[in-house]
Amino acid sequence: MDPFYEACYLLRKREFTRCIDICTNLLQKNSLDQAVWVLKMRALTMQVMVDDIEAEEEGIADIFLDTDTIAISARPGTSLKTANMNTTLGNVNHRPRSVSGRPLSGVVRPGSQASSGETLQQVLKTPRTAQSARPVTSKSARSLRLGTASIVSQLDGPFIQISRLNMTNYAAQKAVSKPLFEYIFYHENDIRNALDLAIEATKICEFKDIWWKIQLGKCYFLLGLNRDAEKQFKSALKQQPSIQLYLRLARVYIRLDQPITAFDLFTDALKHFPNEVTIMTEMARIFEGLNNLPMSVKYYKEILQEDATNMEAIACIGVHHFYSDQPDIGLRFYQRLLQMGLYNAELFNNLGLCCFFAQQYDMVMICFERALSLAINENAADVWYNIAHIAIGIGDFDIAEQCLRLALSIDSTHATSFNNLGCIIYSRGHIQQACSYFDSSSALAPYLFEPYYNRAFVSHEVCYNSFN
Amino acid sequence: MSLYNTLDIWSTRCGEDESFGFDSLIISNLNENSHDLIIVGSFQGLLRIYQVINNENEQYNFKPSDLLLEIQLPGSIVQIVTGKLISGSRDSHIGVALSASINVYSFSSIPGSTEHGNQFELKLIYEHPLQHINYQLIIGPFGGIKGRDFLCAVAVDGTLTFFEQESFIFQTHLPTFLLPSPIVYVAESDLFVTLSANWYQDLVNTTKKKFSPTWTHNLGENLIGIQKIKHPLQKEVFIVALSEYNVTCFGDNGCVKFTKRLQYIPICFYIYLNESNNNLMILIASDCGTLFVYERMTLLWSAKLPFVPVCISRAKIIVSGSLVILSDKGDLKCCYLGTKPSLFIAPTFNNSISTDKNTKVKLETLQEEIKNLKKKNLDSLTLEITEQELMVMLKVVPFDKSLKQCQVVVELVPSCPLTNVHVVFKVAVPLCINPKTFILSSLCEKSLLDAYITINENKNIVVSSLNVTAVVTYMVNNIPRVIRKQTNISSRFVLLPCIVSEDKCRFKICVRTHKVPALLTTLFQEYKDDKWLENTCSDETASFCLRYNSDKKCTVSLMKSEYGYEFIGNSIPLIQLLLTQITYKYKSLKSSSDKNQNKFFFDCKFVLREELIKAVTSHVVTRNEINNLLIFLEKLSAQYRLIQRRLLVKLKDKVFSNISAIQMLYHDTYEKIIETIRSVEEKQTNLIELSSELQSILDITFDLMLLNSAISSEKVSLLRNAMSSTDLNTDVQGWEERTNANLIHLLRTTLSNNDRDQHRIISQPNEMITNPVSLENLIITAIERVTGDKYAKSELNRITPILEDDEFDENQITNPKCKFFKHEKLLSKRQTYDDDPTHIADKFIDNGSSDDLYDI
Repeated sequence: MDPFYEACYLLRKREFTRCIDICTNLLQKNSLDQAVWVLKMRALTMQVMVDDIEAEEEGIADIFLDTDTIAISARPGTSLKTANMNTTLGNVNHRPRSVSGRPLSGVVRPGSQASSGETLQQVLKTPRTAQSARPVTSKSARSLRLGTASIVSQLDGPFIQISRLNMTNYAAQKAVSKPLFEYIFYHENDIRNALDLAIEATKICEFKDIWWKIQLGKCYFLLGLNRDAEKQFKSALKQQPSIQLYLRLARVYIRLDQPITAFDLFTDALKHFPNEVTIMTEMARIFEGLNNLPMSVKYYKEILQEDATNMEAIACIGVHHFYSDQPDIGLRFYQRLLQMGLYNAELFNNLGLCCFFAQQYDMVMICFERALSLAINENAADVWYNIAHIAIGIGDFDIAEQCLRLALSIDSTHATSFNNLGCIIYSRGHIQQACSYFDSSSALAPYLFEPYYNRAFVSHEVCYNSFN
Repeated sequence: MSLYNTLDIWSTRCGEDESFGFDSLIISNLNENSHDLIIVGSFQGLLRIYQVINNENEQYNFKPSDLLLEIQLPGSIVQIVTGKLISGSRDSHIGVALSASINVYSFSSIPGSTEHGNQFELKLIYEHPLQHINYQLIIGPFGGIKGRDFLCAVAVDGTLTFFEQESFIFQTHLPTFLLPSPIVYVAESDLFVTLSANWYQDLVNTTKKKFSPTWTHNLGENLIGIQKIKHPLQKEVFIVALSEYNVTCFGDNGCVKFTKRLQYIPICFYIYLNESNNNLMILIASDCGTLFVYERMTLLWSAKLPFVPVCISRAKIIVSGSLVILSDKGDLKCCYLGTKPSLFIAPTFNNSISTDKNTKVKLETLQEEIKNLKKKNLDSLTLEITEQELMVMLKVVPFDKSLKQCQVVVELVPSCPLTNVHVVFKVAVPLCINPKTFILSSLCEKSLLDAYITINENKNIVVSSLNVTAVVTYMVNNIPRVIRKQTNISSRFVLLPCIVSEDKCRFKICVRTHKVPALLTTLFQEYKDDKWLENTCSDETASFCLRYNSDKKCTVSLMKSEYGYEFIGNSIPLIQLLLTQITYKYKSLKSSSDKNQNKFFFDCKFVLREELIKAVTSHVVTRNEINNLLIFLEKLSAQYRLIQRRLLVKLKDKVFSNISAIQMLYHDTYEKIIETIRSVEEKQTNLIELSSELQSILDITFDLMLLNSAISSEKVSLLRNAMSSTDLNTDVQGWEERTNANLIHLLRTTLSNNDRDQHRIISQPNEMITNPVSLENLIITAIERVTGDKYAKSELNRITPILEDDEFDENQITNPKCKFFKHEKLLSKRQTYDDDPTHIADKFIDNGSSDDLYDI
């Protein structure tokens, strides 16, 4: 078989390493074959490429040096950062918060680790664990790691010396410029040079190719120039609307903390692309971020109408039912996930909790045993914490205490465990010890109100008893 | 992730070690048969044609007769097409794109004369050799011609070669072409649709030789596949393009009908029209082997495929609309979407608990473990950390012949730099160690510390123990760390063999053993060269006296009637010393054999009652005497100060007067003070002796109680802690006060026997115990309760004849924390009392100064 044909076939089969090997051999024979060169470039890019629409995260520096903020204290319901302020006041269901202080979601997403409206000090004080570690700038984290990983795999040096490229020259070559841009952007993760290339190329095509506009927007967004990115995306949207474009523009608005604008944009997008699952997912996420859970669940339900296998929707609806005192319905959603083949500690943990609160006690221990056997370090602490909950429910405080201690031995920053341990210790009459547990809990998680309340309660009780 | 699996109808494997591409499969109905043919071509050049005949009585497994034809072609098969490819013939023929040529074959059957069935053959009709490597073969009635199909070969370098059946028409080149991508021909509007190298979707009109796009759409992504289908009624054409992240449907005029963003990586796809309502159906296979069935944009079904396919198609085999999939290794399957969910079953979990009973047992053991863990002192945890940080070893150097001093070496090996490490030694009186403390400002490497033990001048005291304790303390991050190490000095340092006349001995204690006891010569091996035999010591008997005081003597001998040792001596402390020595040596001798057999036995429950009472009484009395003397001394010194003041006043007075009376008084008071101080000192040394003796008696009492198997060792250790025999003389708090408070607490709680115990009054913390009788009673009661002395029990039973009480006692657990807590309180209060005695004395003097003056 012809080697070039085979390389094309392997690229489509996504066997990138073999494809790269064949291309390398071909390039050794004829180093000027542009088609092979582009093919290898594409293979290298696709090897490390991820869908970057959801992968971005807001860094600590971006929060601190945020110059786009319109109002310091936004009105409730208009900002993702003030979402926590109006929680639970009118809402009967109370959801616990994740490590970064956001209301717990059904699934872990890059965005769900972003923290709510907190100051820089608070961000820096938040314990840095696998669940809460956040990049310092948006250009680091995942994308940077991808770039470094690719360099390691090439023992004989980088494939293309980007600093030596004549950008104007390559931008003019229509067949090469786009794969080259993707290579620089995704593989080398060199946003500045990618931006240079995009600027040159968009000039050459007389600002007509929306592809280049999107790429310019992507570069600006990663460089933190949100308003420039917005301009590029909007101009592209006028020319030819696409799902990707709507998602990217909405990302910019979310970064600018304008969830309502993003929501309006999505409503507009749904007119162009009715029943599009990705758009509805984003809408549901926005409502979840605003802590408007009924609306969020409404969209997730619509998603399930369109795509019944959507795991995020199933998990989020399950969580919603669990926290609105319908554990038996939540149980059915998690059962479905299990039947679909999901097999991890979190799922069994949730199943166990649902079983317990739905009074199906025979399944509880089995679920938790499985959860423990599947748990890896970070989530094992959560599993032990939940087992402690079950033990408290049964009334066996000895086991509960031991479970909480195990949770803390795995994750010493598990604030809720500290709080519950404090309660158990207090019931045993060790007031000082209990107080110190409440203190460490509130120091680790300033967003939790329970330790403050407990501390106050204990102080009051001690005072009250000493006066009588 | 799906609930369902596709279910097999028919499956086979095409060859071994062959590979198949994305265009290797075609379903065709060549000869207007009722059954579709499955035509598969491999890269190795093998063409296979299958036909599965619906036979109602049989299972649909693969039969050899299902393979109609297998033929080796020259070169790898890139694509297979079927159509009207031969001029003048209305039959369909097979066109095969090999890597360097296009061959057209006719497929025909020769009816068999026997029961073997029909024979099939493939005949080459014509061949078009190509200069460029073939990538794809497009078939269609180019230019809108009816009843004939033309071919177009797409090469990997973008060359299009057009053939009008047997004849070559022209060759052209695609503009802005770099990498090949799929092309589809739309016959209805005579258009070619493909992706140009700059990722535009282009449309090419073939009637002209030049390419001018009829419409373009900016896809912005790489194209994976493109297919078209025509709506039979509305003449509507669907062109469906599958790209990396999206699936987009166009009309033939270039307008986008719909787009769907995919949340997985697509590999291959197939489109068809729903037979009932003519809706567009899309089948997409993902890279993890899941099949998605969409009706326009809505997901209707998802099912797990047995493998990741490279080709997917739909055929009328057995059932109409069965799914045909081909993997890159050549697995060929016909499946249907079963509605019976194949639920995911989690792998079996190794569960040790099976029945309720087992669960209960496991829960109980778990609770027991948790309880034990709590009981365990948390110190053990910190100790381990400390041991990791600093290794301490305490050794006694074998001493020289003079036996005047004994060298002790402490070896410190830190694993990390430590600062401010204190090492403190402790030995029993009259031994003393020099230097007593070491302070190391920084400890970075292994260091050795030497200290020497000598015997103090006070020769009356018998050494109560030969233990040397080293305590190492330091701070890490404001957390104090303490390590204790203990070792023994050889008894040779204080004991000496001697001759004893038996009449002087007053005390005799017998300790029994299970087996034949070890001979004394083996126990006291270190005395070999110490005039052992000269002093009539033998295997059976040996006598010892203190090296520094030969008055106190003790003889150890093997019992004659039973197994055991007999101790006879005139001093209990010495007996105690020897007993501990022999116990220690006996244990270390036979440590290898069974532990229970190494134990000594002692039958009596409470001996030495009188001695204990006597020791306690004398201790209390001496303490009282010292106290009285101190009070007296206080008064004397007050008086002395007054006299001094008076003297000063007199001296300042301008009128001279006789001071001889005051002088006399002054001298007299001075002498009295000195005298009192001396007697205090004397009493204090006496007290130290008494304390040592009391300590020895307490030790031997508890040791013997521990040897008695009838007494619970837990209670003995409880009592021992309550009557702690260490540090009998402290400045802050006396042994009597501590013991009193502890014993009353014990008697009210653990050792409580009846209601009367609850009414025992706890003494005031700052009150000094002066009455020995009440303390003695307490001690005797407590010991009797622990030993379960018959007399005491019967007496108590008479008062409260509730038998369950005894059992109840044993179940109760004291809370040791509580006890210590009270101690602290006691300590603090006494401290405030003793804080500033001079200040109080001054006050006293000031108040009474005027009266005293007039008296003088």
